[in-house]
Amino acid sequence: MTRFTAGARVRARAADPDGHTRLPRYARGHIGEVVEVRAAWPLPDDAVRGVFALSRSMRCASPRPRCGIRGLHSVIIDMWESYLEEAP
Amino acid sequence: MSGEHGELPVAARVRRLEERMIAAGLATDTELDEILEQVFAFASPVNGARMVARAWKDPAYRDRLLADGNAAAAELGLGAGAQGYLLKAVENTPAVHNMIVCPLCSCYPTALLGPSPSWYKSFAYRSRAVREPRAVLAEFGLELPESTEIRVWDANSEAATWSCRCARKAPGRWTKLSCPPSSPGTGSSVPPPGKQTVPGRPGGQRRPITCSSPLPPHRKPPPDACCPHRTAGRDRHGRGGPGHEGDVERRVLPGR
Amino acid sequence: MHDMGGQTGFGPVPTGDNGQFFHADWEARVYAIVRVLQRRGVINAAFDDLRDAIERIPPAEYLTMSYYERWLRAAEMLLAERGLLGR
Repeated sequence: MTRFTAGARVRARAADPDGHTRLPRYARGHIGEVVEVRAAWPLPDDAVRGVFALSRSMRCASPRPRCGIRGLHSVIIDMWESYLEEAP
Repeated sequence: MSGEHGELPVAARVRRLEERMIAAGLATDTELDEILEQVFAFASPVNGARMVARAWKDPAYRDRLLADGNAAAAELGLGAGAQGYLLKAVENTPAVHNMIVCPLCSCYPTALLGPSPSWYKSFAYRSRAVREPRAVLAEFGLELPESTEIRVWDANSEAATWSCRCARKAPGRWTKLSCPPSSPGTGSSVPPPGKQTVPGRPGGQRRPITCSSPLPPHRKPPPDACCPHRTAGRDRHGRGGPGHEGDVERRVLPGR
Repeated sequence: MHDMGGQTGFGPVPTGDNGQFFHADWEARVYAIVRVLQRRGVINAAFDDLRDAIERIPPAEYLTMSYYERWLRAAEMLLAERGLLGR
């Protein structure tokens, strides 16, 4: 069952796991919006430990384009649902 | 493929590992060679360029490409290269320019487009693309107006995103595609690598194998062939940079 | 060390790539080695094991190694950890 749908406001977990994860540090603890929900894939964090666990893959965007020194840019990150929690 | 590095310590280490793997029954000479033959025979940035060129010519294909990259690849007989991951094409427009990066490890659709270029794998690109994409693009010679939003797609291994310009330049006229005799790395007018040989096995003889490559300089590209397809450096029109118009930006999966 | 998105200090992007898939024979052989290990299940189908091993390379060494040197080290680590090469 999918916890989040497109448009959901989410926060990337802030935990710093010891092992392999595909949640980059620059995104941890930050809030974004789900832009696309895709199929479930084996979660890499568990796969390397020999544990088979599916997590739905999704894309999340920074809530609004960031205004850099010379213009707008936004970041859209490929995520796993397991990395996300509801944001206020 | 250059052989002058054959005596580097790392090369000797690789040979030793191959020997041990073969001795342990984990690999065979033939299998190692065949893997490389497959890469050279199929995987190429030209595959991506073909899809982009088709999208430029055929609006319906463009729509299908943007909706489902895997299916669009399969239509052109390229489905095998897109197996195992979700291929997504995103479109560059005057309002939005797309960049793709994998900061963690440089994932890329290798099976479709071949191994990624060095700049894509570099620490500089991996670290800076999500932080200062505009400055990074400028280093490739691409200066975008401040009003153009840059979308940076941080890829993971299961999803390969690919940015290209899919729209025609002018209503009723198709962009005439020019395919400079460029290597997939620079986008400049440099003869492509052409024939590449499968590196020889330890103790074995090298077998020269003619592999696919970007079109050789003397051949005029067919109408549905590639567009300038490398993003590092400038093409012959002075354009360049990842995701620039007409360029196919490759995204990599390690080993795929 | 691998998790470098957003970090500063790495300088300009090396844009002078000539587009060669591999810049030395040994790099291509490393690629083939890793693909074989994937086929044998030493590296899982999604290559998570390869990434994990690369990420376990000590940071100081990670920074000095080229892309395929890291692949080579990871392959050696996995084979050694699983005792697959014998003595």
